[in-house]
Amino acid sequence: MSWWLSVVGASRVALAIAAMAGIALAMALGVQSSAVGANDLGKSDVRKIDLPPETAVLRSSLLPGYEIAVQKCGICHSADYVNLQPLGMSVTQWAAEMTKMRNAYGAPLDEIDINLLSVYLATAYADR
Amino acid sequence: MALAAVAGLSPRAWDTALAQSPTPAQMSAQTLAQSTAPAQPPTLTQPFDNGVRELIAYPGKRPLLRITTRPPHLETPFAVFNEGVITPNDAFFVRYHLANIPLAIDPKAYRLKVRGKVATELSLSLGDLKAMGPAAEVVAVNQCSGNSRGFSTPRVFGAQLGNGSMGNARWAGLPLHIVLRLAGLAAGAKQVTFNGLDTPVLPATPDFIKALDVDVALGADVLLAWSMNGEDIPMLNGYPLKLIVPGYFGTYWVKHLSEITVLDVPFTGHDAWFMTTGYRLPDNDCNCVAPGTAPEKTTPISRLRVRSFITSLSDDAVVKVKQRIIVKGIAFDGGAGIKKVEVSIDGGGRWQEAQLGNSLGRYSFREWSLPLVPSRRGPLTLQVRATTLSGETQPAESSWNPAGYARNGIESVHVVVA
Repeated sequence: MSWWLSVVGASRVALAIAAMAGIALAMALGVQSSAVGANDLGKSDVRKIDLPPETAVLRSSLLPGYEIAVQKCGICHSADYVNLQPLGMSVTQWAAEMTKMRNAYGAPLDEIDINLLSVYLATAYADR
Repeated sequence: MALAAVAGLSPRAWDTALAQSPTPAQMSAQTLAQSTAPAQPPTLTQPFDNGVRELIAYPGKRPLLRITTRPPHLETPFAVFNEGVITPNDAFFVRYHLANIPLAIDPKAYRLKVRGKVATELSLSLGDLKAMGPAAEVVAVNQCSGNSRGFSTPRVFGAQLGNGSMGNARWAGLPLHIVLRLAGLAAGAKQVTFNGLDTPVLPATPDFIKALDVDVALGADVLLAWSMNGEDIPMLNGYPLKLIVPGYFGTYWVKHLSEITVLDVPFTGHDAWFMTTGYRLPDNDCNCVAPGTAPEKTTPISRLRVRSFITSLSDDAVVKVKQRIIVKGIAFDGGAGIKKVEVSIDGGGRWQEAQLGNSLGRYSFREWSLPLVPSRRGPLTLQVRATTLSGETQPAESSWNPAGYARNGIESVHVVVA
């Protein structure tokens, strides 16, 4: 017990000295070049997260736009981006959205892709 | 008159009301429905078409409404806003634009770069920032520009959000102006841009970079925050450093902030898309257009509009006739501060002023409460309207814009008196 306490005590002193040294170092080097800030000492934890799995899938269809959607939409976003949109949007409305995907976000879609996608989306997402 | 205000509501009564958890009835508008298949997560259903949302727990988060998976977009269940004026970190909404988001961050290696039209370029560690001055604090609402978009009529494309893409937290960090002054703004500096660690999947996709005019960026309340409600900012909310722009929509609150660039020209180009094309409102007095039409001219979205919500009752809640209840809720605006909150139970004819709770500052949610005794059985619609100290109030109906931004019409809750 006393051994454990003394180790803890010693490490606290060491930390305090290191902290003071860190402050002195930071002051000496100036804020632009200090690699270790005083408040960083004692914290070495890299923050990591794991995200839940992607489960959303597009509504399947025999229309040719379905395969294009599976191949291209999923490059940048999950299928729920499509699934949550208001149902019943027209081919024209979907075409405008697909054009936005290409022009604004750089989606690799040509005019034929946009037409086929719009027909698929307006059909498969017409209603429940 | 069914509404009878009780004068002299004591602070104790307010505390008691705050301590109450949402009842099952309060959850009923967003129907909590456990799916029958065992592998399926529970869902909440928003009160608009195609509004079923899975409740999924993400790292550092309680189960929230999943809007999208990649990039992650999570919404706060509305019942959370009845739990208290501060939104807990684990319930705070999450919104990304680009799918390459940081999943591991070494706080020791993290650097904030300041560059562009400055006298001295800077590369600052978290320790540097924390040593540069006393931390400043502000309680401020972060609200997504598209909060409530799902209620747009006619519906518009975009993340179909209910009313839960907002939150109120105590942010602490270094005022941005200290860093900008240390770097030394060049004469003629016009805008300051802010970039975070998230990046697009395709090079053709614009990066997510936001710009503020220099006078806004130098404002005393703008923070480089490392603390949210007394803890490190959750990873999904922008760990380790988030730009806090009190009074402005969340689009400017850049997460994982890593790069500040000072410009002497307006921000343009490929990576300026989220300023020059996205996140813009019709440039007219109402920031609106006739439903279904396109604006001639647009302007970047900026300050929050005044809003108010009833949190203690939700649609289809049942209240007892001739029994006193305390209706409560929240109000907020873009920084003028809330002057009054009023409730109507006759369709907006007469308005009863609510009692305001303690102020946590002009950027915070402001709680309000109003006792009432329903006098007749049957359906009862409650409406709530807030007015700011600058005289701004909520319109009876939300206006329309193509992206469904900045909704702020008077909200209604339909309950049943039994």
